[in-house]
Parts: sequence; structure tokens; C-alpha cells
Amino acid sequence: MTTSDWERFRRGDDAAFERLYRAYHPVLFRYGRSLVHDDELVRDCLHDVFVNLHRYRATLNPAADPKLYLIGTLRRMLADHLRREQNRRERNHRWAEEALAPEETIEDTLTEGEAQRVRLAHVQRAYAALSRRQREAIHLRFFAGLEYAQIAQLMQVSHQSAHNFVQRGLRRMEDELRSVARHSVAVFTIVLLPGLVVGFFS
Amino acid sequence: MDSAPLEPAELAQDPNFVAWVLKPTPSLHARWDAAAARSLAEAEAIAQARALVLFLHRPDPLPDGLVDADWQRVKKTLAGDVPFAAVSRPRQRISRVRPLTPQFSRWSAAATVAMLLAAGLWWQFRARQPTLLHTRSGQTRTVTLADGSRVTLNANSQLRLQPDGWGRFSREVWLTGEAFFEIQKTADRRRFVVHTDQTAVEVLGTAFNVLARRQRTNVVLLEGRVELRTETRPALALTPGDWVQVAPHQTTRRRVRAEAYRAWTENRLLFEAVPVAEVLQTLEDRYGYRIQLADPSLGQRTYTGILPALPEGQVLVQAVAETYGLKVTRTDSLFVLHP
Repeated sequence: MTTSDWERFRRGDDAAFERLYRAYHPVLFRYGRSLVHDDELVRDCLHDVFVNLHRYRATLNPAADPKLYLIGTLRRMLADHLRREQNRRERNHRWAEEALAPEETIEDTLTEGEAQRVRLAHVQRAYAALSRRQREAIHLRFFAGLEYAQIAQLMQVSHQSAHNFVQRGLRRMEDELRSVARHSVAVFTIVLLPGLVVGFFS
Repeated sequence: MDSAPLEPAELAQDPNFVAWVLKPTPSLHARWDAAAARSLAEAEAIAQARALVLFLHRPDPLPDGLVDADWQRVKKTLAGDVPFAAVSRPRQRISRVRPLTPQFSRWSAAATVAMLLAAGLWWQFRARQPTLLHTRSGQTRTVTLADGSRVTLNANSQLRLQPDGWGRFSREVWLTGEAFFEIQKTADRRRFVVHTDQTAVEVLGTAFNVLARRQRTNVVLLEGRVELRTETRPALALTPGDWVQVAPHQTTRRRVRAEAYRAWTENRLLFEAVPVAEVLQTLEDRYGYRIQLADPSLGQRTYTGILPALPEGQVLVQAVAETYGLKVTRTDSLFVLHP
């Protein structure tokens, strides 16, 4: 999506609005559901994000990055909403402090073979066990494709912290993978090496 | 690439590596396959980095029609069907319970008709097609059948189930390739039958491995009791630890350590004094390779070892070759082992 669609939309072009909508809705929806366990709430908020966007289009900053702007708006709206909900009464949805629901989304990678599926399951588990901010930063970096500077701006932290959230999160996931591998490598060296020796002399 | 140990987390952020995982090209293949072939440690690091990349770049699947449905809703709001002020600021959860407007019921009627139609088509289609499960090179897959029996399918194998009412009238499957079966007994003691090109294996409830490749069927029984039937011979009853091979002109029976034959279901390839030729055949079947020995007499020697069932097999071919001091030359899927 180009800034020109953003510009056209600002000047009242509704076809450009639909293009923006279709381009960013999936990214925003995925981001929203990574923060709260409530698809309906995310959809309602997204509805409002876009309705507001359309309503106030004349006041939008022409130089803004649409993706960053939209993600930021959705983030604020979800946060406001959750704060209000929580004040009202302790509700079931809150920032996904409890581990993300362990969804089995690894089925579509069947072609990768069993060993790889085991690895993917571990990566997924490690990701779910990261801190909320690490998870959010990793989501923004990879799933939403933002730069560190943009992540820092969104999460209101320094550039260095945004970088650290992502890198430390990845290290944790890597460590989890290593701990799996250590087990199978141990099996391999303990059992294979004598095997090779026996094979050689027989 | 230099000789520094590969760091999966670093690698997973290398654009070149990401491109190879997501959209491989021949030149990228050459680079990373070569790295993976260098040592098992590097192969493992690359596999780990692959897993990270796949996870980090795999989009979460969206519910069908979500974007369209939500877009219609935004359009409707903007067209003034819903007073704007009610929607936002401060947010009331008005949209949690939506009134059943005429547009909505028309929509849901259309959706219902479409769903019924789809369901009908699905039934039709399902009734004609036998259920088919298959695996590709280097892939294994476990399924639980309607009766609770578990089947683990080895690489390059397929399993067919009869089309209709599987488990209700009889329990029969057709196998090519290799599978490990853990069969549940049913209350009415209904037989479970595994058909291969050479034979039929009949059981009530038990665990056994069937390998049907290259016009032979090998059956190994781990527990329970099975009967082998062929068209020409009387039924043969197996007891745990029996290994039987049904080949075109002869049937062979041996006593084996049966546990070894299920090792592949735990991602290990276990060989106990197996002729090298057979080890290479196993790798050929599993990964879809052709492997030739420059000196065929080597095929008679026996090999003992456990290999990890990696998704790609080149490292394994190399491990076997190195045992005998051989070098491996690869051309596409053809490997030649020579001094």
C-alpha cells in the first residue's frame, strides 16, 4: 500500500479507503487478537478505528505511515477499553498475561516432517511463555513487519528496549529449541558412535 | 559462510536465510543445503532456525470471510444506517448484541443456504472418495481412526480407508509403504484388516508394524496376535517377536527384537546388524533417493547404529558412508557412494 492511497483517501476517495481497509485489516486483526482473547472485541474496535479514520480523514497527517498509525490507534482503543472494563468489574479479557491459548496452528506445516513439527511446537510454547512486552515486540517486528524505531514509538519505550525485547525473546525461543535438541543429540552420540564402531569392525 | 558456529536466532533474522525458508531458489538451496550437510550440529542449527522462521512468518489463519463481513459493517455505519455517535467515544459495547435488521436476516439466510449446499456437496464427495492419508519424503504422521486405533504412517506411504461408514461394519485399510498400528479392540470383537499387495493382516487388538514396499510385505508383531492371509497359503499366525516377510515366491519367518521396528515412530532409524544394502534401501524409501554403491559387495556387510530421522536425509547417507570410509557424490536425488 502506498502513501498515495493514504493521500487519496484523505482527499475523500472511497475506493482508496476500501483498499486501505483490505490491506491493513488482517494485520490489525492479528495484532489485536495477540493482545486479547476476544475476536469479537477486536472486530468491534477495528470497526471503530476505521469509522473514526473515515470520519476524521481531513485532519489526518499526510506524512503518517498508515500501518503504524492504524496499529497505534487500535492499541490505544483496546487499552482504553480494557482499562474501563477492568474498572467496571474484573472481566475475562485482559491483556494476554495468561499464556496465549495453545492453538494448534502447526498442522499446515505438515510437509516439514515430524522432527520439525516438534520444533515448531516448542517454539510456540516458548513464545507463549515470553513476557507480554517481549511477545508484543516480536509480534510487531515479524508478524506486522515494523522497524525497531516504530515499535519503540508504539510501545513508548526506547529504541534499545524495543530491540532488547525482540532479541531476548528470540534467545529464549532458541534456548528452548536447544534444550530439545540436546536430548536427541545425546541419544545420537551415545548410541550412534558405538554403532559406527561396531559397524566398522563387523 | 565462515566457520563460526551457527546461531539459530541470528540466522532466523538473516534475510538471505529467511528467503531460503520461505521462497527457496536453486542458488539459495545450494548454499544452505551445503551448510546443513557439513555437520550434524550445523544441520540441527539450521533446522532450529527454520523452525523459528516458520513460526515468525506464519500468518495466523483468519476466519473465512472475516474481512468482507467487517468491511460491510463499516460501510453500513458510514452510510448512516447506524447513528455514528452510538458507536464510539466513550465506547459502549452496543455491538455485542446486534438487532436483527432485515439486512442481517437476508445475509444469514444466504449464508445458511450456502452452508447447507456446501455440506451437501461435502457428503456427496465424501461418499465417493475413499479416505486417503499420505506422507511425503522424510515425513511421518500419526492419525487416530474412528475406532480409536492409532496409525503412524512412515515417509512416502499411503493408507486408504474404505469410503463409507468406516468402523461401523468392518475395519479395513489398504497400505503401501510403512505404518505402525496400535489397534483398539471393539466391544463386538470386530476384526481389523490391513491389506497390502501381497497379503492381508487380520487382528482384533494389538500393536504391529507393516512395511509394504518393493513387492514384499514385512510384518512385525509387538503385542497381541495377528493372522497373515495370502491367496495361496493357509493363514499364518504370528506371536510377539515374529517377523514375517511375504515375497512373490516365498514367505520367510524370523524371530527379532520387535521393539526395534517401532523406533522410526519415535524419529529414530534403528539398525541392528542389517546389511548395508538394506540400510540404503530404507533411506531410499524414506527420502525418495536412489543410492548406489560403487562396490556392490559392500552391500553384504552389516551395519549397526541409530540414526535420527531428520527431515532431509543427505546427512544420514553421509553418516553411513563415513562408517566405511566412502565419499558421497550427489546428483539431484541420486547418491553414489565410492572410495
